[in-house]
Amino acid sequence: MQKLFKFFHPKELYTLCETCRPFLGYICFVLFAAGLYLAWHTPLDYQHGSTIRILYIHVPASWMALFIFAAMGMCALIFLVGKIPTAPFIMKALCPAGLVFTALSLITGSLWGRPAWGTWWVWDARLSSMALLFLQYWGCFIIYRVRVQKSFYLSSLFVLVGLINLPIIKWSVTWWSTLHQPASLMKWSGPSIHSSFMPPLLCMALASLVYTLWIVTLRLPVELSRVRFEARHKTFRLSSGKHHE
Amino acid sequence: MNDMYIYGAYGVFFLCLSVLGFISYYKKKCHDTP
Repeated sequence: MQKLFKFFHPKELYTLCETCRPFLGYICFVLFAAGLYLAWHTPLDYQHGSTIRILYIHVPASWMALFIFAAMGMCALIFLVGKIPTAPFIMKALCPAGLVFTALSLITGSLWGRPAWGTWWVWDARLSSMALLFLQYWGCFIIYRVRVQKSFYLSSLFVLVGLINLPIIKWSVTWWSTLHQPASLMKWSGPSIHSSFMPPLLCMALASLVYTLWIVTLRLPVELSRVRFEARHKTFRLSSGKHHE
Repeated sequence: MNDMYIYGAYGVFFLCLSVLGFISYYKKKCHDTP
């Protein structure tokens, strides 16, 4: 528990972000470049042809959308149960990245659906639950933007309740009959896609993960310092008010 | 015809990531500048 407290100390987090940021930026750039190269140099799918390339960005974007929300849920739990005050700042720094990846998952999914299924959108269980996840991210984003009182408590509760949607998204293709294809990678019997599709997919997924960490290292120090400034400002106002009394 | 969807998807993907990266970088730079 002491180690956890030490890790979440603002100074430790600030130093960690400042140290890791340059490396993460370069690694992210290299991984995206490698992913793009691999995506254009792997064999095409025998049914879908070149449109398979859309999946090299659609699948990592969807994974990241789910992963970031799960990470936000973890931070919410650490904040509410562990009473660690810096955990919601990580949540706040993660939120825009999650929002963008969810939007990208929906947009690239639509661009895949048009040539593959003949339609841009259909209200099946997977697509609808993913749209709901987008609204959940949007709700969180709005809570942070309007800065309501106790926004961290409100957003943490909102995220914790919203976690129910994650298993629904994951198993929606199993529980209901959907136009979206069933899981072909993350299943007990192992991946059912051809092994030649794996390197670009994993490379882009890793690049997306590093990109998210890079965004967090950029946004987290700003959030931590802003609150420190606001706290100082509040102290000043309180002390000046007391002085006038 | 399919190429239009592929380039569209990749264009949107990298555009969105670049915009978010730029906004985050800009915020950090403004914050660091005294």
